[in-house]
This record gives sequence, structure tokens and C-alpha cells, in this order.
Amino acid sequence: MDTLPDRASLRDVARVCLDAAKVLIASGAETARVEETVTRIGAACGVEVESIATPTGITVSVGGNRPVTRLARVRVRTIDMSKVAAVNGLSRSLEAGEISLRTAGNELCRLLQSPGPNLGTRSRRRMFLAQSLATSGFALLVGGGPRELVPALLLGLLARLIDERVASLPPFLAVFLNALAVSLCAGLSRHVLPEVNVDILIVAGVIPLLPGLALTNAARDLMAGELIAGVARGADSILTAAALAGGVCLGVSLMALHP
Amino acid sequence: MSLLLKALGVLVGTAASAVLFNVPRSALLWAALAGLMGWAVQVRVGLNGVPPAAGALLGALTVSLTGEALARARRMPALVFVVPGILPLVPGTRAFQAMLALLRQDHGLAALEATQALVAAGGIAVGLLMGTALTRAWGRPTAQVLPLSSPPPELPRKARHRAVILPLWKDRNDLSD
Repeated sequence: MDTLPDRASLRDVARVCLDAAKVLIASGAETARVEETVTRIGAACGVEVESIATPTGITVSVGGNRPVTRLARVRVRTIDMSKVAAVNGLSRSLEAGEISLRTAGNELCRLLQSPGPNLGTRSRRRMFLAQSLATSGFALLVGGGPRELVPALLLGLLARLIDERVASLPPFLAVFLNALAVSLCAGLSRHVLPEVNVDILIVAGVIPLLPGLALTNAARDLMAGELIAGVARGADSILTAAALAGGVCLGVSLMALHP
Repeated sequence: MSLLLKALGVLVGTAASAVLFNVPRSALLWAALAGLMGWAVQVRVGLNGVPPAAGALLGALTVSLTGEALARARRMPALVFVVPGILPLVPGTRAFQAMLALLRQDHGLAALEATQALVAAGGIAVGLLMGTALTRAWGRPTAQVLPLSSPPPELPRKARHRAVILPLWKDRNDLSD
């Protein structure tokens, strides 16, 4: 392998790099990790790889003198830490020489085509359970007692149901509608259970909607020197927080109209 | 007693949000632990009279450092532990009180609460920044690129010496001495 790598193998490396980057960006990995993974895959194959990743797409250039350059646009982004961890492990074992480029490519194809965490009945049931548990746990955190536990469980189920319905809308609108529905339903619960603290329910209900991933990624990207991605993610988290605040504001003022 | 109840809430809430983010099953408990540690630090320094924003900063710093340590120990991205872990630190109640005050047109109280919430949120961001900055250099093996492509061919010396301005009228092919 001391000759120049031929075009076909460069194209193979470029495809694997691009697939890895697509999975990572679509699952919510930070940009610095995307570029590092791509460089690692290239290093494992013995070719130089340069890449520019943003939160919305990636350009990969493989090979030194006459590079193969490809780009991909990522339009749909979800949060799926399992896939991030899987690609991370894949690039590690590729670097250690435990698997071949072909195996890695097949595995990445499978990851690209596998549905998100919200599909499939079993994982769907798990998501419902998780959101209701999260809401009741945070209800305890913000000062709720045993009285708020059951309403918080139900509120979590409802928030998850709405989350599924609005998933195809633009993210800003989805968060707004979800926050609006949570605050409206928490307000309505006062008519059924007069002694429940509505404020605690609302706060606990919207904590799972907070832009924690965007904020963490913004911090990590800025510290890694990824200025564009860091600022973009910071703007994303501010926008999401504003949508959340708007939804809760509207919901609370609607409930105030109808005491 | 109420603190114990809250700690239980933090554990359950963080682990359940980790499931929502589809964190791998083997990391769920560790993510909840990172969240619990960050929250415990925030509460502990709050008892000593440290202002809430600084508490949020120290809590986020704890979560970030714990996440990075876990990432190296368990060979997983640090995000897996940090993203669920910072949720208990968020000043949700303050932000909500600010909103309520705003709706009641009590702008003084709204400004007070909103400022405190914003500063605490900024504290979380700065804590994360500090944690990442402190650990970026640690034990992270850098990718070794071993280029197989041959280096660019060296120009022959003669040709380099030839780089003189040629008279325009001279035939350019006539370079050989």
C-alpha cells in the first residue's frame, strides 16, 4: 500500500465518512465530535481527510493531491444518544483495526435507516413511561409533594402524546404548542383537584422540553474552536427557550381569563 | 426529609430524561448519578450562602467534570452523561415566577426574578464551558494521520533558477541552454 490510493477506494472512504457524519449530526452530536470522527476514520484507512461540519450539513474531502470531495445536507435532527455512542464505538474499533471499512459502512447504513427512538410500539411505550416519570421526578424537585405526583404522571403522558403529534412541525412551533398544552392542562386540573399546586405542575411539565442538548453542544463547540457551530447552537437554545416561555405565557394568561 | 425527597426526584427525573434522549441502557444510572452530584453541589454551596448563580455554575462544572470522567472510564461520549445531568440545575421556578409577575404587570418583581433566572442560566453555560475547557487536553488520543499519498514532487533546481523574467519576444520553448 505504498502507492497512491486509487479513486475507487477514496470514494469508499468518503462514503463511510459522510455516512458517519450524517448519523452523528442527525442524532445531536457536537460538531467537533463529527469532524474528529471523520478524521479518525480517514486515519484508520491511511488517507488524509479534511472536513467542515455545521449543525446542518457536512463537507468531506478525502485524499491529498487530487481529493474526492462530497457534501451532505442534514435536514431532520433528533436527539438519539444511542446512535452517537454507536458511531463513537465504531470509529474506535475501526481505528484499532478490529473491523474492516466494509463492516463499518454496512453498520452505518443500518444506523442511517433504523427508525428514531419514537417509532416502534415497545420503545414508544418506554418513551411514555419515561416522560411521565421525568415529570413527576421534577415535580418533587421543584417542591411538589405526594399530592402532585399523580397529576404530574398524567401530565407527562399528555406531553408525550402532543410531542408525537407535533413532531413534524418546525421545532420552534412544536415546543411552543407543547408548552401551551402543558400549561393549559395543568391549569384545568385545578378544577378537578382544587388542592394541587398548578405552578409546580407547569414547571415540572416543561423541564423535559428545555434545550439542554443545544446549550451543552454550544458550550462544547465554542470551547473546541468551532465558532460558527457554537454560535448557531447558542441561537438555537435561545430560540427554543423563547418558544417555551411564549407557550407557557399564553397558556397561563388564557387560564387567567377563565378562573 | 424534604431534601431526601428532592434527591429522589432528581435521580428519577434525570434517569427518565436520559431515557427520553435515548441514552444507552448501560449509561442510564451513571447519567442520573452525574445529575445528582451536580444538584447536590448546588444545594450544598447554597446552604453556605453562595449566591444561586454561582451555585448553578459550580453545579454545572461538577456535572461536566463528572461527565468527562465517566466518558473516559466508560468509553462513551460525554454528552450522554452531561445533557440529562444539567436538567435539575435549570432555574425553572424562577423563570416561571418572572413570567407570572409579568402577566400581573408587576414589572419590578418580574425584572428581579427574570434577572436571577437569566444569571443562573448563564452560570450553567459558563460552568459547562469551564468543565469542557479544563478537560479538553486530558487523555484524549489524537488521530494520527499517516498519509499514503506521496509528497508533492520537488521542483528540479534548474527549473527554479530559470524563474527569471523572460523577454516577451523570446520563444518560450527555447529554455534549454
